Amino acid sequence: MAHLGQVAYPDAEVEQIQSMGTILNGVDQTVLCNMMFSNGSLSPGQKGMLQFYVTGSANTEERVTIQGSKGRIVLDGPAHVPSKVRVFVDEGRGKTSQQVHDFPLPDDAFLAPWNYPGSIGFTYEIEEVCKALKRGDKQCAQFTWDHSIQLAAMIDEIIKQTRGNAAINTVNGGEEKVCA
Amino acid sequence: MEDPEVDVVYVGSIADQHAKMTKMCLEAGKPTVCEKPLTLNTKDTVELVQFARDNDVFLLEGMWTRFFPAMAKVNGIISSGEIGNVINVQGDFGWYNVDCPFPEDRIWNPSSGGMTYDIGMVSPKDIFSLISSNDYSLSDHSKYIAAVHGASWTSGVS
Repeated sequence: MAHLGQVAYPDAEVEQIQSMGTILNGVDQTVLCNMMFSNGSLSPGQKGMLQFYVTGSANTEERVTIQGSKGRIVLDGPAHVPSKVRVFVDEGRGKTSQQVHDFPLPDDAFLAPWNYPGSIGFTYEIEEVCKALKRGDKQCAQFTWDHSIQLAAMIDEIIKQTRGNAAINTVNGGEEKVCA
Repeated sequence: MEDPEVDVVYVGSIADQHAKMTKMCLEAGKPTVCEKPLTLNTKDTVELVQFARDNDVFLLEGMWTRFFPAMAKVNGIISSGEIGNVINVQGDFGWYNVDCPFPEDRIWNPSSGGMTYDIGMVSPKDIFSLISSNDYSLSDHSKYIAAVHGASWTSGVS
């Protein structure tokens, strides 16, 4: 989920992270996170926010909403394998016009059933890697080395705030506990 | 690693082995895609990226969601200004893990388990279904999956 900040605020930096969560079997189970990003070039004078939660205690809807000053983008669940982009353009309070862009995933009927939905979508990444290798590129523009480093820094901070050092080796015998 | 027929390596082990295995692949000069998270901390990620840069080897953290055509559309809408300045992004992601056996399931691994590493970044896993589908050709120039190596954190078996 944290990578969505890079999608919404492409050249911005992370300014603040607030994270809290519960611990199950010694590891983070339900984690709630708020982030604030610096002004990016797409939004001069505008801080960017990101709110998300992850959990192992439920299968969630997994919807993503990107709210802009003039409208919003909604990715219906499961949003980590998106196939539909709905765009709502603001026309006053409570009024929007809607456009739907469909990107159906490749036909995977010839393959064995997947463990998880949308897995045929791995082919998009595979194809881009093949193209990059043919061009002699060392990175993919969709997710660069700088993206990896920025994301790692976000995850470091979330883990630090959520688990704390003391929680790492705690086994709670299946009882979910609040991490201070 | 020394097989010239291998075009690219996908590291799909559990997360606490990612940095080590990815480094091995890069040292062998193999273009490498590693399941997210690439490593378990910023320091190791910076080191791997620097190694790839210094040795001019392809490296990608497998953030597969970013490669979907729908995400390219999202990028286009945002940069076009169609929805104005982005104010906030909200999302949720959960999969029910309480049935996963403790302690052997990777999700309870003390060093790399937990939901932040698993899906706080986004979500992994089904590449193994592609791997197990023997007749699936990766692309026009690639061959097939050459080998699958795995490691269990409880048994130490690779």
